[in-house]
Amino acid sequence: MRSKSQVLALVALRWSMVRSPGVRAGLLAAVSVAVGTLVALALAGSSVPLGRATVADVSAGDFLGRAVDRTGEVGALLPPVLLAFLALAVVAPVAAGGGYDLVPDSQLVAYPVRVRTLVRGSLLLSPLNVAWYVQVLVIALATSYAVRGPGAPYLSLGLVAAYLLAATVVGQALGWLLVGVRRTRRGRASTWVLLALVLALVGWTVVTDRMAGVLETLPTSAVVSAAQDAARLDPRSLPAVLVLGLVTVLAYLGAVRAADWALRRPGDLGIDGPAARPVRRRATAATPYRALLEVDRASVWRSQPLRRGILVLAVLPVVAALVAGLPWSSIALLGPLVASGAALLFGVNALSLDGSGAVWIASLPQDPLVVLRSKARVVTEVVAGSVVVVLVGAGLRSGSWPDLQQATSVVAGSVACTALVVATCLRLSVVRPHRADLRGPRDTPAPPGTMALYSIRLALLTTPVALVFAVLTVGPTPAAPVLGAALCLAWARWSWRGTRRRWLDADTRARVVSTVAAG
Amino acid sequence: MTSVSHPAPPGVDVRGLQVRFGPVTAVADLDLQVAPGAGVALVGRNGAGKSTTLRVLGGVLPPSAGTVLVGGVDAVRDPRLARERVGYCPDVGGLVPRATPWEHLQLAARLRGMGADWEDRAHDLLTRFDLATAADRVTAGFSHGMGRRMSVVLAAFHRPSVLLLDEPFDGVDPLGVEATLEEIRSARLRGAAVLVSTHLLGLAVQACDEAVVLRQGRVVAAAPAAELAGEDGEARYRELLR
Repeated sequence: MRSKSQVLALVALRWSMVRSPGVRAGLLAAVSVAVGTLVALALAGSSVPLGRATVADVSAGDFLGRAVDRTGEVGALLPPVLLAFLALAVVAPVAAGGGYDLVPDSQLVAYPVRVRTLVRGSLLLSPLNVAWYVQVLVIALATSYAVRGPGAPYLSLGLVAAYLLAATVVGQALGWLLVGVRRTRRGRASTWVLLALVLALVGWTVVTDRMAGVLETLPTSAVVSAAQDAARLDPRSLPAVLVLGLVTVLAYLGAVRAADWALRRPGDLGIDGPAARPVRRRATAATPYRALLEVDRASVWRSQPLRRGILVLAVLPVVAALVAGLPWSSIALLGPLVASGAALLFGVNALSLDGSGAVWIASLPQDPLVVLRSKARVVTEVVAGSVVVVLVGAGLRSGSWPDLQQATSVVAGSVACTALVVATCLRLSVVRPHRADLRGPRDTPAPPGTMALYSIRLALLTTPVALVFAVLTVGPTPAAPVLGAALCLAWARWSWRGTRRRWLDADTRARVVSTVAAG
Repeated sequence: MTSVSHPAPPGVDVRGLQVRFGPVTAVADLDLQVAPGAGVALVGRNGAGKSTTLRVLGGVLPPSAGTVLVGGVDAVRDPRLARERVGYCPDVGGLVPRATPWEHLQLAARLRGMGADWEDRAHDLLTRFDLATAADRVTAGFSHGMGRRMSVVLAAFHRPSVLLLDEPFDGVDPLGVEATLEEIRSARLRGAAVLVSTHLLGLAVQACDEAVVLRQGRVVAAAPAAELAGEDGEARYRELLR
């Protein structure tokens, strides 16, 4: 069977596995809204009228609704934004263990699935990532607004789209390459060294105040220039199109070769990798709750995809904050965003941590609430831990201590969003459980479409709350963020009580246990 | 339903059990008694309701209707106490993938409130089931047979008064099978009621003195296990499955 047919067959299989009409409708609606929004924003930017304005009357013009020309400012932001997209395109598949699986590879071992199918499937799933999609939205809007001319917006957008495609495919190739390299002890050590070097380089650039200079000489400036040429119908944009096309094709072929190599390369960890190594015994816990908590913590930290996800979540936003040097009002946005990212690691299907052992645990004589409380605790630890690391990293880079208003807003916003995210995770875990191994490098807690819906749901929850707390960093009083956090905590508590009530129902519990333990 | 005759109250007493999953009836009006010290084999085709019945007895699945007494405790009214009396080996997996056998035993000891001697019992079982050298490896790396053996260890660990084993011999090597049979014998000798669900009729006959045949969620026959031994027994069993 050809690779294209295999991809179509796997997509059809995945779609047929979405049993709930509600989820199907939700997925279709989400795709329609996502595509519609992208097209609307891409066209909207170019229709914003441009006027002449002096520096002095810009702010007044903004308020009076007069046309103001900001294309220069927005255009200057495009190269770093395009570079940030490339960074995400590389980091996301690396964080996902090479790429994304249409169907978990453990379920496909009996079938002759071609490597090209895996790579194409992974490329197809790349947009099912809120960070990828939001960046594409921003880039489309900014390009459409900032790059004007007779060929705009279609030709300029087309060229930028070629760049986005090339960056995504390059990211896939590098992701698979890294998976192959990390199959051996030496390869794993070298990737750690590489990460340390990158972090050191970023740190050195920041400390020596060279970041502004670096941002001015980014290679992505050439892409923006080519887009401007395209908008002017200047034939000098053609070589850029050809280069981007060539990069895309070569990166795709490279991704296939790299994936083939990575999947065939014998590792030095044995068949089960770290599973074959003995672990140190701990003293028996003092209470049933502590005993379950220790098992749950072990289930998180012994899972390869979860460890890698937590590391990426801790490192990437810190690096971004180091590069950008964010003010406290923006740092207030970081915590909530990281909270929703951390929740997607396993929190949205927390009961799957027990795997098939869920049935055995359900047969033990314990209070069922203890199981749920243990899961809530371990989700909270991961979400709150990621938020704290990011806040500390970003705070150190900000260069100044926050005043009381800023500190209260940042802390209150992070606490509020953590509570809301954890409450949402537990509700989803009980209402919509999924079987998930979280064992293979590309395992996720739920199928790709469901994960996309979950990420949208969490973003819709945390973004407005985060924006409110970001606004509160400038006033009116430190009591305001505290009050806001109290309201969010009350909301989270209400949600938790509903989840608790559901979990205490024996039929619901049996359904959850049977689902996560299936297979 | 079965005819095992012991004077003591039954270890398992199920009457009118029904389990429905939406429109699907997995178990329909099932009666089953297993006396203390008795071993009953639950046999039948795939989908006959064996595992569902054991899940109900193990306290994992609430029944749709009927009464379920395990170790003299109503599993619906007091599921926690019922679970204390029961040791349950689920049909598939049954192990937390990233926990070690020792951590499973620690968790079971804590949740079951076992005394300080649990470690001796754990060491003994791990040795007898040839899992001592793998006691500190996460179970995700176990073969299917190792996982089955470990599930039997966990079910038998606290010397339950009702031992429920769902496919305990599936994929298990001969030494593991022997250890499982020995544990079943030992449980019965101390007065535990043992219920074994299996497709391996020969082993069911060795482990139990009674066999109950299920079909479409109902008991269609019950007979001394010895009657299902040998070629004639196999032929009779096949007849009952149709």
